[in-house]
Amino acid sequence: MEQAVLDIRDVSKQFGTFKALRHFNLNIRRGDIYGLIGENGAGKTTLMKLITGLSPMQKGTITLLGERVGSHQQALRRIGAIIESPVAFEKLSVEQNLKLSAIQHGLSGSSYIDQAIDFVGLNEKRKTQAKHLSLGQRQRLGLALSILHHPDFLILDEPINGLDPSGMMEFRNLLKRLNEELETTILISSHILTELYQVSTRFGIIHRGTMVKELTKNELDTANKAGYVVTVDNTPLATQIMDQAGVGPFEVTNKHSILIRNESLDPSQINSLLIQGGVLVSDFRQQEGSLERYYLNLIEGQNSKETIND
Amino acid sequence: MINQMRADLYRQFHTVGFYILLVFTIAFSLFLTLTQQVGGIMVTDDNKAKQLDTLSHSPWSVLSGLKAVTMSTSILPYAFIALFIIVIGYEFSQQTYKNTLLSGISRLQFIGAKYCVLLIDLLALTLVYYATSLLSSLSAGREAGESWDNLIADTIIMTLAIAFFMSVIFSIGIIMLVSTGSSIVSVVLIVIWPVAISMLTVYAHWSWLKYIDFVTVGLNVAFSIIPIKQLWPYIGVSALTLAVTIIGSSIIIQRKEL
Repeated sequence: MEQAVLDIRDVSKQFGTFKALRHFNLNIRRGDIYGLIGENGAGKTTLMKLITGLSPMQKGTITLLGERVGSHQQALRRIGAIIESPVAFEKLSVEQNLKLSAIQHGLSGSSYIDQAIDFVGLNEKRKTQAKHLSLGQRQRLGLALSILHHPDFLILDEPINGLDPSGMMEFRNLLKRLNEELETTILISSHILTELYQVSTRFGIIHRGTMVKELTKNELDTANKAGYVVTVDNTPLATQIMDQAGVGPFEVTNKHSILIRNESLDPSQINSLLIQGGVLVSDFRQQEGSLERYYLNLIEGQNSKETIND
Repeated sequence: MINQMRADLYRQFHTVGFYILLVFTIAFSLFLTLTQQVGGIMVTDDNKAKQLDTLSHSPWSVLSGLKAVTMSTSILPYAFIALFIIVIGYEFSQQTYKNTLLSGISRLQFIGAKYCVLLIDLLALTLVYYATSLLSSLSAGREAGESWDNLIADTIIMTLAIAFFMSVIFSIGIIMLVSTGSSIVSVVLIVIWPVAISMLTVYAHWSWLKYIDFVTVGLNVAFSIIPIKQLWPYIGVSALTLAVTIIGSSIIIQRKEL
């Protein structure tokens, strides 16, 4: 049985009247690179702060590496994290910042520091003060600080924000190496789905404080398949007709749209079927595969559900 | 907690501000001792006026040098505010405390470590301050003024008293920093506290204020104005203040959105 590194159950967090997280559940298994996707303000940073104890718990439970968050801090010794943005002592050099962190973690000898600097490729900058580093180099220093003590679990809050394309690629490769070479489980958040797609093995889509969908990379690939989007006036009737005709697979993406994930079908035949069945078809178009579109459709669907519920 | 203290000391020894403060402490003590100046920022009572008068009208020995620099220790909290900024203020202004708290240290250990480092720094710098006075008096060829055993014992008591009671004010600064997140507010409090409490004691005649007039208590202990028998209530109030500020700070930081 795969062991859970992180188990979040029914967690809610409220700031005044604003509900940042609502009955949130999440389970991350050892070896995962879990991509948490959500717009700004969706609740990603709040969640990460709760996991790391930087924000007090209100409702629910979080179990981190077998230890309940809030009761002890021992599990924190086995994690590394960059929350919001990497912070370092500006006037200390890269090496001195790492030395300081090594002392805090009770690590002796310089091998940990050398390994971390080598790993993130900051050898040429090891004597440079943190304040003189570029944004990408600061991100790498942040990563070096968080992996210095060889954590079992790494939590990264929007680490690719502000990086240029080559910086993003480098960072992505670093994360893959960490996961493969050091077997580090990683939770990484971003609002850029395409970037997470390239590095994550599992995905969670968070919207307005709730987990909208969890899926593996294979499931996302399937979900991301190109197909036909049919816009109709009566979705239940349309799905009933398509079911009877054996058209599929398909998915109702919002109140009036159905995504048919079958590119080999004959669109005119489906169109006729629907019209004959009394469904008004206002649009019928082919959709290219797009992660962003998939994400937006999902969010749009969620928004529609919330509107109906309201 | 020990690791955190070691880390704080490592950072401090790589901070230019700390060495500037060390140079200031030595220069200030040298200046007072060699130029035979006495003074400070305080509300002078009869006891201290008498001490000042004696010092300004008698030839200086090593002992009178130590007494003179003790009289001027009321300046030290203002200079040692730099320590407060280096040890804890900077962590809050730059939010580097997040890295520290993510290392698995408890909130109580975090605040406890910060206070202990401040106390160690205050003891070390106050000792440097007195040692400089003692050595510069000797180099100026002055007489001891008392047996060497007593001089060394006096120096140790003065260092402990001044540094400890100063650290209590800094601990109040810590809880203010943790509550407000503002270094400025806590620095202003550290600056105002000694003068405000001294003035209130004199003008309002609230005798209980003497227990929280930490700078004056330190001075009075250093000058043996407060006998050992009467010292316990002062130490008790200071210990209680430390417990409230350290435990209180750790509870506040635990409940705060960081």
